[in-house]
Amino acid sequence: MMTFLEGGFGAFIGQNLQEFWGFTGFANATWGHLIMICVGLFFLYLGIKHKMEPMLLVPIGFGILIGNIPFHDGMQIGIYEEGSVLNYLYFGVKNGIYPPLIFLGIGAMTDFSALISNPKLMTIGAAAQLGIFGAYIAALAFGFTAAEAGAIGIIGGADGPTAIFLSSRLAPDMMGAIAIAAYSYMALVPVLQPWIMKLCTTKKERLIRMRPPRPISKSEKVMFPIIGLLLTCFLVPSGLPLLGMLFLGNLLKESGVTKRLATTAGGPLIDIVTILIGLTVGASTQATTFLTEKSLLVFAIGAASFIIATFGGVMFVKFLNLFLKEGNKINPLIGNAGVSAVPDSARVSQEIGLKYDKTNHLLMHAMGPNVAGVIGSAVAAGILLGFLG
Amino acid sequence: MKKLSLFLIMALCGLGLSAQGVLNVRINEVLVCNDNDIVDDYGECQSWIELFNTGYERVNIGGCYLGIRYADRFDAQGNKLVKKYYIPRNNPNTSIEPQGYRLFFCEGNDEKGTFYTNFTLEDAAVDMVILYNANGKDVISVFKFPAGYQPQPDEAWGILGNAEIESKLFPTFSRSERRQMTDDQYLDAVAAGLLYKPQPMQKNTPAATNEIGEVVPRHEVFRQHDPAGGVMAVTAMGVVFLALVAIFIVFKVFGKIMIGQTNRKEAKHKGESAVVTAKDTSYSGEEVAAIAMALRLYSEDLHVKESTVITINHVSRLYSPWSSKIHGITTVPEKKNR
Repeated sequence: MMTFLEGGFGAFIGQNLQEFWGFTGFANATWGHLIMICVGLFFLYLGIKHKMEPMLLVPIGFGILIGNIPFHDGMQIGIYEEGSVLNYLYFGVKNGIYPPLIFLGIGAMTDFSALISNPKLMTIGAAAQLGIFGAYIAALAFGFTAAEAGAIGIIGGADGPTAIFLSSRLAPDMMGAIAIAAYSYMALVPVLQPWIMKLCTTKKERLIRMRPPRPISKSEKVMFPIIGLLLTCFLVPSGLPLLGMLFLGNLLKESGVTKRLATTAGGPLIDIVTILIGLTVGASTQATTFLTEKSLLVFAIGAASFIIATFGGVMFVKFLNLFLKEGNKINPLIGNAGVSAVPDSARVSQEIGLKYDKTNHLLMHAMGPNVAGVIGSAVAAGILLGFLG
Repeated sequence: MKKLSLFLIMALCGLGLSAQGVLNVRINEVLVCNDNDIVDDYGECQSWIELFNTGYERVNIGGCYLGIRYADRFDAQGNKLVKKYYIPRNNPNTSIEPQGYRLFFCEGNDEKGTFYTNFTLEDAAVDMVILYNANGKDVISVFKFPAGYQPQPDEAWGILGNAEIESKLFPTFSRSERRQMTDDQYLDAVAAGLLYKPQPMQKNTPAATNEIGEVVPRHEVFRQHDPAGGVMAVTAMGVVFLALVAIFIVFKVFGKIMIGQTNRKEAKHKGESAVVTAKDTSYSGEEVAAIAMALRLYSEDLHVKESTVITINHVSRLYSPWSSKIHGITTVPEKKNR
């Protein structure tokens, strides 16, 4: 009151305005914030204009904008500030709660029929995990710790929730960069994969017609999640949160008696969690923690891991064909689908296949290795967690 | 009967779960002669007992008993005398977090608080510290000093071997074996059968792990042994293949059984004696696509109009008791004149 009277009304207003200015985003902005906002806008552009994984890129892009609005520390609004609303939402990412819920939804939406009808496609899903371990070796060579290398390697699994789950356990500081890299490359699958597929195959191989899948009985569909869970989780118990939820979701769908639960898991639940995970992962990329040399390396190694994974999948099919009789051979164009990235990589197989033979529809066959890739990447995450966690 | 069995199974499961938590607690470290070691809340140096929750779930030891056994005093049955301290239930701090520790000071005055026992360790005749279950009989953990043990000032004795805690081996006896033993024999047998024996500590570590060496994270150990990552890559790829190949084999076999079963059913249905092969019943991709397309067009044709028609009928309901004001208003009490 005394200051107000002594300094006069103008000085009082001036002081308040100055304080107000100090709290605005303009006063606290750095080049880093502006760069990250541009990245966020680019994600929104890709998602909205080009419809590249819009379900992921739109919430992540907007999350990047939210996370990079500059503010004065201590206002309990930042994602890393305890007590802020965003921090509460981020809890689900930090503690690996959202990824298993997403897997529940994926399980409830996935039809494993293609895989059950031709179970040898399962091995393609395993071969494509080569990207994970290739990236692991590369990350070690660049001086990352083994735990960090494991977290970076999982980008090659082409599975966002798995990447978030593993990085939150092995390298929480790098989770933002890893998640963004994983989702970005998943969106860029149609750009990253075709040239490798063409490079690794001959025209004759691209024209291979595969036998149509046999009809699958309900018993087989019901047995798959149960046997799948028991076999994979007895071998890799650390993959239980992801694999358990994936197979539970699938059992809800295939049992036929829990339609309401399956509809919820594959509908509203996965939608809600996708919004939350996208928003918070995007917001976790605050310029101060994200714009580092390490993040750039993560992106570079991540790209390499996708390339190695695609290469591994395609080459493994070629290898497999050496032992298969004529008529049973597999079109190597579905090898790329083993990297997971459901269903984009399977769509790439279909599109490339149609380019060479307008009547050769590979989508149905590619879905086999595609869903096997989901299981494979979850198993790989479990192994990394078991060894390095 | 089925319901009763189910209830019994569930009850047994529940009992098993509840009992497991307390069994994870062990007497981890004991300091008998505290001259210059840690001080208690009253600023005094007291002998202490450290309990360690070796498990990964929170455990409440409230209601359990902490006791000592005197080698030179005997009870009415001729067993060595055991003095027990009842750990009160009303203190939330008796709940030990996973892999957590709790210290009990042994001054012989339990009026100072929950973590002060009614006995003291500074008695040459004390040869054993025991943690009992809430019934005061079943032993959870024993800590036996070696024969001829002479306490040294500020020298704690503890259990080493954290790496093997998860496979804690607690000697158990059958009910008949236990019945044949005296209490002393039982306690001595338990102490003799323990995997970990107390040993003098190089450094006292109250309320902390007894492992004083630097703990190297597992991923660092892994890196030291496999700097290039090749072993990890080969091993992990092998495990991924193993998992998926296992599913492949199971479903290959299962698939064959199912095909056979389907064929047999079809053959039976058609009255054919020969088994129909899967090849005969399969359709080409084009046929499947054509059938699917036809079905889709048919279903769309069926619903294209219905799904866009919204019928709104005006419902006129002149009177409903649910919306009647007569039923919603409290009736004014009638005034009765005498």
